[in-house]
Amino acid sequence: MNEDPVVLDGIRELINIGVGKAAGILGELTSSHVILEVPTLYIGEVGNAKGPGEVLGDAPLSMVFIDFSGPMRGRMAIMFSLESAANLVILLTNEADTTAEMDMIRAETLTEVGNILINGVMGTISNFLGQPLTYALPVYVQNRAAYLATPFGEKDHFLFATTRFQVKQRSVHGDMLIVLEMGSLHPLVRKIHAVMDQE
Amino acid sequence: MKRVLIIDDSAFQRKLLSATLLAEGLGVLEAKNGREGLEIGVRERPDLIILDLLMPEMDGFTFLKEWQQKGINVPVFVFTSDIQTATRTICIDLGATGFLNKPLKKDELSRCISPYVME
Amino acid sequence: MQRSGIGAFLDSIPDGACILDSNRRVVYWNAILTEWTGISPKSARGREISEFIHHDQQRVLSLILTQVMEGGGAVYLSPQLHPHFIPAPYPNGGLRIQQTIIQPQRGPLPGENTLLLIIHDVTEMVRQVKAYREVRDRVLRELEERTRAENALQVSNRKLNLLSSITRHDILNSLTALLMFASMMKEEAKDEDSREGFEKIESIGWTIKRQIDFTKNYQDVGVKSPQWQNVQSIVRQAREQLEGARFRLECRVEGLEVYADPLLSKVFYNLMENSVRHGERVTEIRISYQHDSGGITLVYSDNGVGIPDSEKEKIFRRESYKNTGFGLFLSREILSITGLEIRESGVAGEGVRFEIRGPGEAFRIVRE
Repeated sequence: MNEDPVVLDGIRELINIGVGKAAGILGELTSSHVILEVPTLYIGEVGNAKGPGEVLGDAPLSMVFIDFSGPMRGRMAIMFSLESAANLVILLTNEADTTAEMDMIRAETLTEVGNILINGVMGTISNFLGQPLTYALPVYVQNRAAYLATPFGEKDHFLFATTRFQVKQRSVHGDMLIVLEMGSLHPLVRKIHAVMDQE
Repeated sequence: MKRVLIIDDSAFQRKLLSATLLAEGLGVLEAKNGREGLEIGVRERPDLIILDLLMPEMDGFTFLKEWQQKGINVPVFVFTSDIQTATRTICIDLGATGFLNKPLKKDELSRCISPYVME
Repeated sequence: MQRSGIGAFLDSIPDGACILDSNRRVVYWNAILTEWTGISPKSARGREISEFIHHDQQRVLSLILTQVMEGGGAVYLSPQLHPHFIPAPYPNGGLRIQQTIIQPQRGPLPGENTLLLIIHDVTEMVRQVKAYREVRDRVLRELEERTRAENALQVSNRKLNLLSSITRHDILNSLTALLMFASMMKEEAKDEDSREGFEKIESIGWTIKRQIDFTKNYQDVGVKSPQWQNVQSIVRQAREQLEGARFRLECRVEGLEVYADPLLSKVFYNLMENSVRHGERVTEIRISYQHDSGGITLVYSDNGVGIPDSEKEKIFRRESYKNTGFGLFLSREILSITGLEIRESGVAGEGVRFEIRGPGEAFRIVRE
C-alpha cells in the first residue's frame, strides 16, 4: 500500500476539489444545499488482501462507473448500499414515494449523480496533469464491489475513498473507487512531488 | 511586505497557493485548520486570509463566525470548489469578503486579492 | 452536413439526435427530432441549442457543459431531473419523458469540441415503473393491514387463553376437592349401593378432569407457527416421557423431517401411551416411513391387541373407545394444521398400525 502522506494528501485534495464542484452542480440541479466530503483515502494494489472486495464485502451495491483512457487508464466508480442509494435519490429529488428501493427511475438519477461526481473528480485530476482523458458512458449496475476490479490485474492500483453526502441536514454514506492500470498512478505521484518539492 | 494567511488542511493545497503568493512577492503564513488559523490570525494580524471550508477540528464556517466575533478587520477570501449559491450566501452572512475557486487560477487570484495586498 | 454518412446513420436511429459545434450551435438535426418538435433540420441549423431546450434547463445546461469543457466526460441527464430536455409533445397531448446523453468529441485544437446529443424517449419505462410502485404500495398496505389484524387476533387469543386458564384452574381446584370427598365417602360408605354411587361420582369427576385437561391442550393447537421437525428427535422426546413403560422402540426415520405444529410430540406421546395402556401385551413399537408414488407415509405400529374394524374411526372422536378418544382426537387436530392425515389400518389381534400421510411438501429427507 502506498502510504506516502504527501501523495495521499495531494490526491485527497484533488478528489475534494472534484467532489466540491460536483456538489455545486448537484445543489444547483436539485435546488438543495449539498455538502460533499471525502474524509478518508487509501491506496493499494488490486491483488493485495485489502482489495475493494475485501473492504466492502459481498453485499450487493448500487454502483455507477465510468471507464477512461488516455495518459491514465482505468475506471472510477461511486458505490452505495441499495438503501443509501435510494435514500440519496429521494433526498435530492424530493420524491413523495419514500420507499427505499432502487427501481429503474432512481437508477437513472443515480447514474446522473455518479456521472457528475466522476466527471468532477477525473476532470480535476486530468486538468492537474495537463492531459485530457477520454471517457466511456456511465454504467449503472447492482453487484458486489469486487465486480469493479475484475478487468484489472493484481499489480494495478486502486484508490479507495469514503464519501459523505449531506443533503437537508441528513447524511448519506457512499464510497468511491478509482482503479488505475499499472503505470497510470506514477505521473500523478510525480507531479504531486514536483509541486511539494518546489522552492 | 504584505502577508497572507492560508488556512487549509491540505499541505498540498497550501504549497500550491504559497508558491503563487511568494512569486507575487507576498509573505505567507500557514495554518492547517480553523483553530490554528484563529490563533495565528490574532497573533500575526495578516493583511489577508485565504480560507478553505471543509477542515477537521474547526471548519471554515466556524472560523468565519469566530473571526467575525473578534472584530479584527482582515479580509477573508473563501477558497472552495463549491459554487452553490447557498454556500456563498452562508459565507457572506458570516463576513466573508470574497471567493476564490478551486483549483487555483493565477490570474483570478491576482485579480481578487490585489486591492488588499498590493503596495 | 450531408444527409449521407453520419447524417443517414443518425436519421435511422429511433432516438432524437443532434450535433453541436463548439459554440453550441446546431450542425445536424435528425429526423426524429423533426418529428417530435416540428422543427425542420434546415430551420434548426446554425441556431444555439439553448433556443430549443426547456427554459428550466438553461442554467443547468450551462453548468454541466462547462464541466464537459473543463475536461469531464459525457453528460448524462436522467428522466427524473431533466424529464423534458427538448420539449417533445405527443400528438394527443402530454410531453415525452426523456433520457439525454451529451457526448463530447474533442477537436484538434483546444476549444474545438463538437457535442453529440442523443435523446431517448423513456415515457413507457417511467409509466411501467410507476405502475409497479402502485402495485407494490397496495401489497404493502394490505400486508400492513393483515399484520395489524393478526396482532389484534393474537391479543384476543392471549386474553381468551388467560381467561380459560383462570377458569380451568378454579374448576380444577373445586374438582380436586370433589374427588377427594367422593373418595373419602366411598371408603366410608355403609352399604354397597352407596359405595357404588360415590364410585360413579368419582368416575364422573375424573371424566370432567380429562375434559378440562383436553381443553388446555387443545387451546394450544395451531397457536404457534408450524415448523420443520426432525421425527427421530420428536419420537425420542415422547419416549422419555414414558419412563416407566416397558417396550422396545425401533425407530427407522433417520433424516426424516415433517412440517407440523410444534405440538407434534404430543401425537407420538398419545400413540405410545395408548399402546402401553390399551395394547394389553405391547412389547414392541416400530416407527418407520415408506416412499410411494403419493409421497411419504410415516408408519407407527405395535404388537398389541389392535383395534377392531368397527372402532377404527370412532377412536378419533371425542367419545372414548377404551378412553383413547381425547388423545387421538387431539392428535388428528394437531396433524391437520399442516394438512397431515392419520388413519388406523392395522389388523385386529395383531397390533395397531397408524399411517400419517400428507401433501408432498409436508415431509423431507435431510441427509447430513
